[in-house]
Amino acid sequence: MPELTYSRVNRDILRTLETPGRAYWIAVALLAAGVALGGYCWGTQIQTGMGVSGKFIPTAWFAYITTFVFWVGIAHSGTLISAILFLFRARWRTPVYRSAEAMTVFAVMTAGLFPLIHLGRAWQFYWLLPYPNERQLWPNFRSPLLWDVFAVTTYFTVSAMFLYLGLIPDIAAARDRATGWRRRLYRLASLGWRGTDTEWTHYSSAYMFFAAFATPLVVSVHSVVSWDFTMSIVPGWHSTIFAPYFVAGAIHSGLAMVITLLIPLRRLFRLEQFLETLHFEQLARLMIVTGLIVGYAYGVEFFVAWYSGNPFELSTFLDRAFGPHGDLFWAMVVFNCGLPLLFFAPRLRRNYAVLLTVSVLVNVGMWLERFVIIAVSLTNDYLPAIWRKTFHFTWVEAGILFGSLCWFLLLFFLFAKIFPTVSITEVKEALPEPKRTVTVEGNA
Amino acid sequence: MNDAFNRREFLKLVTIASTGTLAACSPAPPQKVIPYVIPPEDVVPGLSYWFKTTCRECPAGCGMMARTREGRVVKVEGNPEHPINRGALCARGQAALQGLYNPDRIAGPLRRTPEGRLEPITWEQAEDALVALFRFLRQERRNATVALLTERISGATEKFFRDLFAVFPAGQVIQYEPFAYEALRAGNRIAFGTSEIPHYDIAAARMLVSFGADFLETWLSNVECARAFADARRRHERDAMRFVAVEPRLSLTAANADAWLPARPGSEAALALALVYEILRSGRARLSSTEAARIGQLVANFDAETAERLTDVPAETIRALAREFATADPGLALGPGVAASGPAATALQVAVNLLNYVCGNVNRTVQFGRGSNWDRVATHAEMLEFIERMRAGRVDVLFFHHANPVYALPPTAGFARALQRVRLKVSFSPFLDETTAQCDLILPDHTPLERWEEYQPRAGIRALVQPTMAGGFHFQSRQAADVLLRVVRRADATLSRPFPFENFRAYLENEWRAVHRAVAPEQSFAEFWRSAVEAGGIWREVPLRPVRLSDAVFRFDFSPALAVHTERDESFALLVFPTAERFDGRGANRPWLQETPDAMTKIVWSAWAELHPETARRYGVSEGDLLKVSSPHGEIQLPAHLTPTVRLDTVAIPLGQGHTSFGRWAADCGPTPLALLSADVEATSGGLLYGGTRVRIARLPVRRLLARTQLETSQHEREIARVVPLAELVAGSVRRDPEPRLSLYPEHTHDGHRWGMAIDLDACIGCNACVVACSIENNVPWVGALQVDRGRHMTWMRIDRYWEPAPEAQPIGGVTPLETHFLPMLCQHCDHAPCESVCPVYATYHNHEGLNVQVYNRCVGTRYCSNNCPYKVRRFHWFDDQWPWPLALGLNPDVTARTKGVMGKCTFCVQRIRAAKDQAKDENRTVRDGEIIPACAQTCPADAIVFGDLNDPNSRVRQLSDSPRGYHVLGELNTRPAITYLKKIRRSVPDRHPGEDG
Amino acid sequence: MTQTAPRRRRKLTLRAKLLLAAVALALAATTTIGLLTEFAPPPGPEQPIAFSHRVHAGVNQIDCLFCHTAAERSTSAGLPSVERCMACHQYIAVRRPEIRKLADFWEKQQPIPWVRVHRLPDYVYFSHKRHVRAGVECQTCHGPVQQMEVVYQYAPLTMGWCLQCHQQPAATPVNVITGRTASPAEMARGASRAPLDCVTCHK
Repeated sequence: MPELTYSRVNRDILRTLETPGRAYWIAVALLAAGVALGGYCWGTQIQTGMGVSGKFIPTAWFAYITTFVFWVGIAHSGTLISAILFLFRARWRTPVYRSAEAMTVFAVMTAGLFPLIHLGRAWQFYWLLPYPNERQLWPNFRSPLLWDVFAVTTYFTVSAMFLYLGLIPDIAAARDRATGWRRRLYRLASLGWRGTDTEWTHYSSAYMFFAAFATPLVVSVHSVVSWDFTMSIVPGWHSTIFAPYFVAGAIHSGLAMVITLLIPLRRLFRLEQFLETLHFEQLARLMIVTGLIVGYAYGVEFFVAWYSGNPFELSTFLDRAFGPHGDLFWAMVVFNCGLPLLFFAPRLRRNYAVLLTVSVLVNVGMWLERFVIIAVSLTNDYLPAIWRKTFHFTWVEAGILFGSLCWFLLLFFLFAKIFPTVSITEVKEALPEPKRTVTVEGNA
Repeated sequence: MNDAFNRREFLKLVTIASTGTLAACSPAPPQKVIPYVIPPEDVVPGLSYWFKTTCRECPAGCGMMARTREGRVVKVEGNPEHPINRGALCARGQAALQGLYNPDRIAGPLRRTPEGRLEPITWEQAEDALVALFRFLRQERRNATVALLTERISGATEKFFRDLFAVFPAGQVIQYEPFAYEALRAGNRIAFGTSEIPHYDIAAARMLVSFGADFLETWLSNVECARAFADARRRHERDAMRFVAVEPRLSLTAANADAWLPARPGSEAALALALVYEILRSGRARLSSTEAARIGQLVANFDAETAERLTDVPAETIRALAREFATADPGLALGPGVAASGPAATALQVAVNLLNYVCGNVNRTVQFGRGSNWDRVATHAEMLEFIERMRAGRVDVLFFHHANPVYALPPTAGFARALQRVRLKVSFSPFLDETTAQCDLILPDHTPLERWEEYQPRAGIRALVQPTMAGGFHFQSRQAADVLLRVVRRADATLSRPFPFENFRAYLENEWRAVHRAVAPEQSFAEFWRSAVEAGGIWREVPLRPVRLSDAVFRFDFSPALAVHTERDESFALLVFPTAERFDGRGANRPWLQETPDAMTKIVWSAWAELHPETARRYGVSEGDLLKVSSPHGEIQLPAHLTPTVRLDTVAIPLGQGHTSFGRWAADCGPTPLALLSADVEATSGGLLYGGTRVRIARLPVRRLLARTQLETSQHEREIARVVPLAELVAGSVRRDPEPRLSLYPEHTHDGHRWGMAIDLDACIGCNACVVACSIENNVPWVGALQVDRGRHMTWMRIDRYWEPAPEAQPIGGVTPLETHFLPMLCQHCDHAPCESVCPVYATYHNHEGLNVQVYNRCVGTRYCSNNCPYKVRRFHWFDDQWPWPLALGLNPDVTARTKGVMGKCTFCVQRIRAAKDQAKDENRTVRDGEIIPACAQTCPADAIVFGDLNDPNSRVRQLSDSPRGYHVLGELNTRPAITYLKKIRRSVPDRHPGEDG
Repeated sequence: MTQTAPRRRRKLTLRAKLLLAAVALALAATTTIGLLTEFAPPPGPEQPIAFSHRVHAGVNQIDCLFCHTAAERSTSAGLPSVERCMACHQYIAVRRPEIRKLADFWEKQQPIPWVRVHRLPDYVYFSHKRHVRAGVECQTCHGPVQQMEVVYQYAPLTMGWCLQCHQQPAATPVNVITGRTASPAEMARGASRAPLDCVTCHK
C-alpha cells in the first residue's frame, strides 16, 4: 500500500465528494421512494385512525415505541466513539468517528419521528412542548414522556453541533478544491475557516469541550428513555436496572450499526487504507463487552423477578421466555449475547462477511429486545381477564418502519456525498509531519 | 270452502291506486338554529323530561322511564315505583333505544307488486287498500277466515284486537310467544288444577333449588327474579338463603348458585322426584301422614340410587340436598326453563310442584292468585294446528302484529311453507323481519316507545305504554291500532258505533273509565287518568289464592322422567338455551345487544357450540373450529367454543342468532339451533321440545372468527375476586385485608365531596345490564366482531368472569363443579392513579372531589395511561365512531362523543354528578345521598353497585365501604381506588349438619 | 486566498443585514395583521329577518329574558318562538316589510331559520342558567347587544377568555360595559365561586 501523504489524504478523501455515479443516484432514488411510502402510510394512519396499526388494549405500545427506542439506541455509539474514545485517546477511532457521529445525528432525527407517529392525535404534538398559551395549560413535568422530549432534543442539539464542529476544517479543505454550488455551500458552512494557529487552538479546545459535554449525555439520554418504562408499574417494565441495561444495549446496537454501515461504505468509497481491519476488530471487541453486559442484564431481570417474590413480575417473565412469544425472546438472546461471542476468535472478527452478518443480526436482536420488553410485557398485565396475546402486525406499520429506515439511510447517503465521511484533519494528525518542501494545498 | 277465489283476487285489492314514494325528513343543518313555531307548553330546550311507560322487549312487562331532550328519547331506565322491576332494567330493556332509532326500521308502508317486489306506497294508498280489503271481507267474502298473529297482549289492547277482529265472521286473534311456558301451565293444572303461572316469592326463600329455570336470564320475569334473589342474598345470618342449580350446563343462573349439579340432560325430573322420595322417607314432609303415604306411592320408584343412575348426581348428595331443602323454612323449587323443556318437562314441573308441596312451600313461596295468566298464549301444539290449517289453505288473510313465527318456530314446523298458502299476508312489524319479508302489505307500526298500549304482566298490575316521543320522526310509521280504527270505520259505516274512537289513545282512555269506577271512583276521571299515565299504570296488592293438591296428580304418569338417555355413544344431547342478551332473538338487530359479551362465554356477535374440552379432545376440535352439528331433523354449521361449563355428553347452542332478514346487525352472526329441533310436541303440555334432541358432531377443516372480550378464565391465584366463607362472616371473625399506606406524593385533600363506589360481589349476578346502560348513557360506540377480536372493544364497564374448581366438590359425570366470580370492572378513580402521573398533557387528573377526570379534548393519545392502568379500564378510540342515522339521535347530549385518537373511560357519570349539583345549587343546598346514581348502579337488578359521597359518614356508600368484607382490587399496588369491592360469600351446600342421620 | 477571506466576510455580513431587515419587516407585518384580525369583531351574519337588537333591547328596553326565556332556567338561553314574536307584532309595525316576512312564517307555520352567531365546540358545556343566576349580565359575554343593529360575536369565546373570569371571579366585572363588579348578594349566590375544574365545562 503506497505511503500516505497530506496531499494524498486530501485527494483520496475528497474524491468521495466528486459527482456521484449512476449506482449512487439509483440508491438515493430508491431510498426516497421508501421514504415516500412511509409518508403515505403515516398519512393513512392519521386519516383513518390509530386502528390501522396493530395496537390494542392491553398492548397500547407496539412497533412504533419499539422502533423509537431502537433508533435512540443506535444514536449512542456515535457519541461514544467520537467523544469518549477521543477523551481516552483511542487513536483507532480516527477514521470511523465521523460516520459514527453522522449516524448519531440521523438516528436521533429518525427516532424523533416516532413519538409523533405514535400519537393518537399527531396534529396536537405541540401540546407536549412547554410554551405559554391562552389556555394557560402546561405539560405535566411528572410524565417521563416529557423528560423524553427534553432528553432527545438536547441530545440532538449537542451531537449535531459536535458533528458540525469536527467538520469545519474538512469543509474548508473541501471548499478550496470545490466549484459551483458546492463551493458556495462550503464557503458558507466553513464559517470562513482559514486554518490560522489561533483558529486551530480554539478549534481543538472547543472540540475537547464538546467531547466532554457530550459524554454524560450518552449515559443520561438512554437512561431517561428507559425511565419511560421503569417509571410505570407494568410488570416487566418497573425495574431499577433499566438505565444501565438500556445504555449498554444502546451502545451494543450502535456499534453493530456502525459496522453495518462502514463495511459497505468502505467498499463503495474505496477507503481501504483509512478503514483498516484493525478498526473493525476494535469495534468487534467492544461489541463482545457490551454483548456480555446485555446478557448479564437479561439474567438479572429474571433473577429479580424470582427473588422479589412478586407473582406478577414472575408470571410476566415466565411468559416472556416460555409464553406464546418465547421465540422472539430466545432469538433476541442468541443474536445479542450469543453471536458477538464469535468475535473471541480473531479469524472471525477479521472476516468482513462474518462481521457484517453478526452486526446486522445484532441490530435485529436489539429491535426484538425492545419489542419483547415493550409489547410482550403488556400482554401479561395484572388482571388475567384482559390478557390478549396475539399480535397483528399491519402493512401500515411495516410501511412506516421501512420508511424510517430509508429515511435514515437517505440522510446518510446524502451526507456521505456532501461531506467527508472520514476526518481529513485527524487522519493527517495521525501522519508524520510533512517536509517543508512539500507545497501544501489548503489548510494544514 | 272458499276455493272460489284465489290469492290474486286478494292481491288486486292491495295493488290498486298509483304508486307513491316517501320522502324521509332530513335533520336540520347544524349551523342553523331552529326555534319552535309554537312551543309545546313547558318544554324548555336544554332540560330533560321523563315519561313513564312499560318495557315491551319481552313479556315480563317491567316499568320503564324514558328521558327526553328536545323531544327525543336519549335514555331509558327502570321505573323505581314499578312493583316488578323497582327501577332496574336488563340489558335488553336498556337497548330498547336502539330499536327506536334503528336505521333498519321500515321507512314507510310497503306493498308487494305483481312481480313480487316490495314497493313503497303512501299511507293513504295503504289505508285505501285495507279499506278495500275489509269491505271485501265483510260484504263479498263473509266466510273468509281472517286471523291476527300477535305477541302476548293483554288488558285493553287485547280486548281491542279481539273485538276488532270479531267484525269478521270468521276472525280470530292468536297470541304467539316463542317461550310460552307450556310445561309450567300444564304442570300446575295437573298438580293444583290451575294453569296460572304463580308468583314465586324468591326473596322469602331460605333454600332455592332450580331445575333448569334460568330465572336470572330469561325465565318468566328475569329482572323481578334477580331483584328478589339479591334481596334474599342480603340476609347474611346463619340460615342465609342457599341456592342449588340443577342443569347440564353452567348457565349464568347456575353460575350464581352455591352448588351446581350438572345432572344429565332431561333427568332433572328424576332428581326432583328423588328429593320428594327422600324427604318423605326421612319423615321431614310437612303434610298429613295419609297424604304423605299417597305421594309416597306416586314416587315409589324414584329412590336416590335410581336417581343417581339417571342423573349422575351421587345418591349421598341427593339425600343431603333433600335434608337441606326439607329443613329450609321456607324453601322454593323452580320448574323448567326453556333449556330444560324436553319430553319430561311437564313431569318435571309436576315433580317440582310436589316437592314444594311436601315441604309446605305452596301458598307460601309459591303464590297463586298473584301470578300471570298465559292461557290465551298459544301452545306449540296449537301453533302446529294453526299451521296445518294454513297448509290446508283454510286461512285466507293473516295479520302479523310484532310476531315473527317464520324465524322463531323450528323449520320442521313448516310455518314458512304453509304461509305460502295464505292468500293475503299483512304485517304491522316496524322491522323487515323474516315473517314480514314474506308479507304482501306492510304497515310499519310504531315501536313501543312511540305507541299507546295497556299491558298486564301479572295480576294486580295494569301497566300503560305511552309514546315517549312523537312517532314518524324519521320513519313514516303509524300505530297499528290507529290504522285499524280508521280503516274499519271507513270500510263500514255500521262500525262507527262500536268503534267511535279517533285513535287508540281515545279507545284506551275510554276503556279505563271502567277501571276508574272500579279503582278510584272518588277521584275525577281526568285526575285518575293523568296520574295513571304519569305513574306508568296502576297496581295494587292482590290476595293470594290458596290451592290444594288436585287428584289429577295421582293419575299422572311419571314415566317420561325415567326415559333418560344414559348409555354412552357417539351422539350428544343437544342443549338449546336462551341468553340474557339474545333472549328469543327479537333483539338481534340492536348493535349493543350483539356487542354485549355473553355473560359466561364472553362471545360477541356470533352463535357458538359449547363443547367440553374433554369432548373436543376426543374429536380433535379446537377453539373456533367450524363444527357440523346434525340431528335427524336438520344440520347447522357453527364455530366451537371449548368450556368446562358443559357436560361431556352435551352440546350446548344458544338461541337468538341466525336471522336471514332482520337488518344489517342481525345478519351473519351464525345459525340458530331451532333448525335441529323436531316437529313433535311434548305430549302432556303441547310444548315445543327445546330439549331431548340427540345430535352428532363433526369437525370441518375451517376456522371461524369467534370474538371474545375475555380469553383467560382463571385468576391465577391473584386473589382479584375474593371470597369469604359465610361461617366466618356470621362468627364476625372477618377482618379487612392489609394494604400499604405509604406515598411519596402529597396526599389529595378532598374538601366537600369525595365520590366513591361500593360493589357487592355477593350481589352481582353478572347480567351485563350495567354494561349496556353505561354504553348508552355515555355514547360508547360498538366496533364489531373483528375489532373485538383485535382487543378494541370500547365498553367502559366490563364484567370480568373467572372460575375455579369449587372447593370440596366432587366431579359429577366427569364435570368438575366450578365456583364462578363476576367482577364488574370500571375506572377505579384511584387516589394514587398511575394513569395521572404519566399523562404528559394533564388530559387525565385527579379533581378535588376524588374523580379521575379524563378531558378528551386535551388528550393527544399517547396511550401511556392505558399501559399504566393496572385495571386496563381505559378505552382508546382507534377509529372515528360510527353512528348511522338516525341512531345518532339517541346520543346523550350531556356527554361528549369522542373522536378518533383520544382515550375514554368511566367518569362515574360526571354529567349526572354535575346535574345533581346544579340542581342542589338552585335549591341552595348540598347534594343528598342517593341523589346521584350512575347509569350502571341505576339499572343494576341486584342493587350491587352503590355510589355516593365517601366524606359523608352516613352515606350508604361509606357504610358499605367500611364493611369487613370490603377490599380493593389490586390494593397491594397502593393505588387507593375509590371503588371498594365487597367479598363474595361462600355458602357451602349441601352442608351436613353434624349429628343428623341420612 | 488569505486576503480574500476578509472581503468575503464583509460581503456576507452585508447580505446578512439585508436578509435580517427583510425578515424583521415580514414578521412585523404579519403580526400586526394578525393582531388586527384577532381583535376586530367579526361582522354579524345576515339573518332571514333583519331583526334589530338595538331597537328591541336598546330603544324599547325589552328585557333579554322576555324573549330568551330559558336563559335562567336552562343551559341554553333559547330563541323566541314565532308565536312569541307575533304576540306583539300582530299589532305593532305590521306594515314593515321585515314584519311581513315574520307574518309569512307565521302563515306557513314555519320556524325562522336564524343563522347561528355564537357557537361553542361540542366538547364544551356552557350553562346560561348558572351564569345568569350568578348575576353575570348578558353583556359580559355577548357585548353591547342593545347597541347592535346586527348581532355579532363580541367575545372570542376561547378557553383563555373564559378563564379570565373564572380565575379571579370576585374582582371580575359582571358587566363589562358599566364595569360593575359582583354585589355581595351575588357573591353569596356564587358569583365569586366560579370553578376552575376541567369537568365544569368538559365532560
